[in-house]
Amino acid sequence: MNGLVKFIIFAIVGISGGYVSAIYMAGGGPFSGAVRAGAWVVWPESGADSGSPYARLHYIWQGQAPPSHFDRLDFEAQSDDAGRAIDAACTYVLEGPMPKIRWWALSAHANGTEDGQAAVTEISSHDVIYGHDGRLRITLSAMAQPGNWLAMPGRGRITLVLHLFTAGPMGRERLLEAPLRIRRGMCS
Amino acid sequence: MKSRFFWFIATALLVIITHIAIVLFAPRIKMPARFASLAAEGMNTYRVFTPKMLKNFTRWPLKHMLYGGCVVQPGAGRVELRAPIPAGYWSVTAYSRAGNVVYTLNDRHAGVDQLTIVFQHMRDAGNGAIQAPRLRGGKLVVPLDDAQVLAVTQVYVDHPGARRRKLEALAATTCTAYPDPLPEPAIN
Repeated sequence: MNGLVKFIIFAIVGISGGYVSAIYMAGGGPFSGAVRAGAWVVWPESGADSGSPYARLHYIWQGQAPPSHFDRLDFEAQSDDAGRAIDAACTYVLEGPMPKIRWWALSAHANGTEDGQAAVTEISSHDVIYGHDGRLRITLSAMAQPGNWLAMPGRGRITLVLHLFTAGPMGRERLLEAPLRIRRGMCS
Repeated sequence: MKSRFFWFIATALLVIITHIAIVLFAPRIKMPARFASLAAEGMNTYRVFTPKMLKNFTRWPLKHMLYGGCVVQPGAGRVELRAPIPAGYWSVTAYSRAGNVVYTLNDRHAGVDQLTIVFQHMRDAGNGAIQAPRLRGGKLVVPLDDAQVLAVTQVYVDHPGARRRKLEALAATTCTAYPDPLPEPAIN
């Protein structure tokens, strides 16, 4: 093999390896600063000057400014608790105790819609009814459901984002332990 | 054998260099591009974000959250952000060109219904040992280490009937540049 071919292979493997490893880490890889809680991934120090550079890359690479770590925590989930991608053709039950914070919002985002536009539906702490034991149960489904219902947006793969607002640094560790469980039900 | 070892080490080094370059520099390239797209609307000019402008700021926008902001460039003077704070959740977050959060405040921290934040460069923020945000003449002075920041305000519409009122409050927010820094209070 001559030197030029070796150099081309070196450049392709080196650059693509660096690119793929950076994107992998920005997706929440080990030691990236991301915290995995069940199916959820959260970057607790996003936006902080002293925070993980992967957290900043995670948000800015996705095309968004990082949420302020003083005011907000965003949990993202692209799969259920069993690790299966969240699919608009299925019904999901999100259940668990919500942390005692000022307010929260849960949004479901889809890329595949009839007109090709991204679609979003959301439900917040202003809209829901808690169980008598203080637990919350939300059904994510294309069909209307009794109780707390979050409509399934669009079709195809869905990303869920749980935004906890006014979640200051005090008691943050407790917040990181309390996301909703995501269980898949029937699929059409 | 020696040649193979050389190319293996060289490729590994290129992977590491590419990885570090993406992690460190991608946010510093992408975030200023976001600043530039918003600054096209006018520097030191507050705008309520249209859906198109919002794409430059967040990938997971909440349907019931209203967003607005301005690119703040105080230069040798100051920029004053005057914001009416409606009842309910309101926040302002300032981002550096590297994507870090340099300042955050929400309605509970503010505790007033009309707030003026003065952004000015650190060298103009007084001679105190700690360059922390402080109140001066009823205005909150935020000393900046950066020549430019992106200040974003968010208001949550917790009830559909409140949407118009909250949008009006957001639209009444202004960013105004002044050629001089805020004068130091006279010492008697």
